[in-house]
Parts: sequence; structure tokens; C-alpha cells
Amino acid sequence: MVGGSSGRWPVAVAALLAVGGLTACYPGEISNVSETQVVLTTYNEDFDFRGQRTYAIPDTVVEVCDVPNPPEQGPINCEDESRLDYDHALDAAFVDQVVRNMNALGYQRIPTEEVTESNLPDVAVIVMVAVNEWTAYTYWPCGGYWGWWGWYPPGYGCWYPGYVSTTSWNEGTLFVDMLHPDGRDDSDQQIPSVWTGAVNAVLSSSGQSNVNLALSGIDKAFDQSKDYLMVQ
Amino acid sequence: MRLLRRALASVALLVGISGEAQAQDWWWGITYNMSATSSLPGSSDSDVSFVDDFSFRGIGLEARYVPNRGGNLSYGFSGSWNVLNEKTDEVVDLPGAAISGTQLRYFNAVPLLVNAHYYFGSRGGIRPYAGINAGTYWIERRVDIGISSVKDDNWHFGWAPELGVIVPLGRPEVALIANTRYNWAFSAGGSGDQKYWGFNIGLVYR
Repeated sequence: MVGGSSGRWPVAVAALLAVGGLTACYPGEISNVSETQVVLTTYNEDFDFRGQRTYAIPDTVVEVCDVPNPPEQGPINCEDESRLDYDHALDAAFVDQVVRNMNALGYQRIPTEEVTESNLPDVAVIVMVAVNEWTAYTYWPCGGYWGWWGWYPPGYGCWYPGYVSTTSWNEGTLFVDMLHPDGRDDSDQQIPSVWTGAVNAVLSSSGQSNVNLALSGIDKAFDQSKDYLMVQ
Repeated sequence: MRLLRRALASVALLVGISGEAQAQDWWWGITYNMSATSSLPGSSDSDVSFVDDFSFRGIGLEARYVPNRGGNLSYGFSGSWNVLNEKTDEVVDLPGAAISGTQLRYFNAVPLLVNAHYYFGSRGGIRPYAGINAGTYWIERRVDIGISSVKDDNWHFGWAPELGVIVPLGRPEVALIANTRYNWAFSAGGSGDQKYWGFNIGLVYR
């Protein structure tokens, strides 16, 4: 064969492996827990945000499981083993961050002690948190593999049995909910939510880092909503 | 033994590893592939801006049959794997909602195409060529955000016009190949048209 083709096989294979080694399905990764932060905002597109001027916000943060469900949905399970305790010493920091953003949008705060039936704010803002521990289980079977005589199924000829690995992480979600008191339905005792911001992230071992992550998330939630939340 | 070699050559059509005695009418190629979507003109569909970075990850294998040695035409097959990825913080706006966070976006494309090419120039010299590829594309798009991941994958029909050049390297059985393809995978499974440029360079054996 002209050209000595027998030498092409190892060159081709080497080239294939070299180029293939540069390729991976999912390159790149997150580098720290702050990159796990996700900020989601939803709003009622039919609500007239521009006509709102005043707001009220309590000084305390509500834990999600302390908020009762509508009767037809049954009680929230506050005994869930995945639930972790939340430190209410952080309430002031979170509420103050929301107040700063609301004021920057042009809203005027009505102190909660001045709120009456005849002096309702245009919107009421509530801050809620939920902190949970999650565990993922992964089963790693021994085998299968390609051998000289073909495919060997999982479990065949293994030197060790399959095993289960676990990964646990703590996850926190902070909600900022904007309610419209004038739109309440007294028959089912519900006040409609017109805007919700949710900040979710994996929690690190550093409490201060987690707090900073939540605060920056609050800012992002208002920033990505300012086009329609801004008081005109 | 010859029967075994022919069988291996048939298999090698799919993986592009050099064949044996019949290879004088066949070109077998391996290329390093780069690709880009909306960074260049020609990619205006919203689905195409899914990943907005230039990619240096890709590999291609192909085989071309030249009916008349030194002639102007070839027919063949090609298979590639292109990976485009991007890390971005941009806000994604949805009806009545918006979501932000560090997103890792991945675009994996595996085109499996048949092709035909026309070569200019003369045998033994530099030979520019133009060609057309058509076949199927398996395309997977995936977004990782926070600790969540969403992906979809579909088989698309598609085609790819191609311009390239083959450059001799001083030995009659080896040459350099370089080409540009505009890959156009038609909409499928709820996914819109997927378009991306391919810039490939490698070696061919004949």
C-alpha cells in the first residue's frame, strides 16, 4: 500500500484522543455558593402599580411555616425534618433593606401603628423566610464494563458491591410579598399579592455571607422590577 | 483478512479512522472544530442567542469518496460534536416574571450529515471547494441556574452549505483541510431553528 498506511492508525487514534480531550459536554462550573443565588420576581400584569404611593411593613420577618394556608389546603407542615431554625435577630437587617428599596422607588412608609381601617396603605409588604436542609442520595452500582468477551452487566465480576453516597446542603429562601389591602376578599379572608420577590441560595457555613447574599438578593429583586414598581 | 478489513472500513465510515487498501478512492478526515452562534451575522433567531460565546470545543470526522481520482466531485459522510457554553448573569424576562442568577448555558450539537463537494483547481495543488451537507442534528440545550437544571434535546433535520480548501502537505496521501460551514437545523420538538457557524481545520488521509 503506497504511503505505509499501517502507521496511520496510531496517528489517527492519537489525534482523535487529543482533540476529543479538548471537548466536554458541560464545561465550566460555579465557583462559590454566591453563584447559586437565584432571584425570581413575579407580578400581576393587570395591577396599576403606578397609582400606588404608600406602604406599610411590619418590623418582623415571618417564617413560612408560620403562615396559615387557606383552609381548603390544610395546614403547612412545620414539623418537617428538613426545616432549620431561623434567627430572628436578622429581622431588622432584612426589613431595613426592603424599606430602603421601597423608599428609593418613591413609596412613602406608613408606620404600622398608624394603620387603621380608614388609613390603609396602598400596599402592604411582608418579608418571609424558609430554611431547609436537603439530602440527595446517589446509588453507584459496581460495573458494567466492556471486557474481552463483550459487555458485563452491573454486579458481574465486581471486586466491591454497589454503594449509596449522600450529599447534604442547606438552602434558604427569602420572600418579599407585596399585598393590595383594598383588593381583599372578606368572604375568603384573602388579600391579593400583586408582586413577589424570592431570593434562593445554598447557604454556606458563614452566617455573615448568608446574610450578605440575602441582602444583595433583595436589591436584585427590586432592581429587576423597578420599571413597573417605580412610583410615577 | 480482506473481508475483515472491508468490514472495519465500513465501520470506520462512521468513526473516520483510516481504512486500508480501498482508501485511495476515499478521503478520511479528522478536524478540530470551532463554532459560534449569534456572534456573527446570519444568526438572528431568538433561539440562537441561547449561547452567545465563541466555542473552541469540537471535533469532526468525515469520509469522502472521489469517483474519479483527481476529479472535481466527491460524496461522503460527516459527523461532528460541537459544544458551545456560556456563563452569564443576564436577567431572563418572562411574561409577568423575571429571573436572575448565575446561569451556565450549554449547547451540544451532533450533526450527522451526507455531503457532496465540488473542487476547483487541479490535482496535486491547492483545491478550494464548495459543498453542501444535509442530514440530522441532535441538539441538546441545557441551563443550570442555582441548583436547578433545565434541558431539552431534539433531533432536527438540517443542512449546511460549506466552503473550504484542501492543501497538499508534500505527501500524496495526506493533506490539510480547512472549511467553514453554516449549520442550519430546522425547528423540532418545540425548539426553533438552530443556526451556528462552524470553522474547522484538520487533516485528511487518502
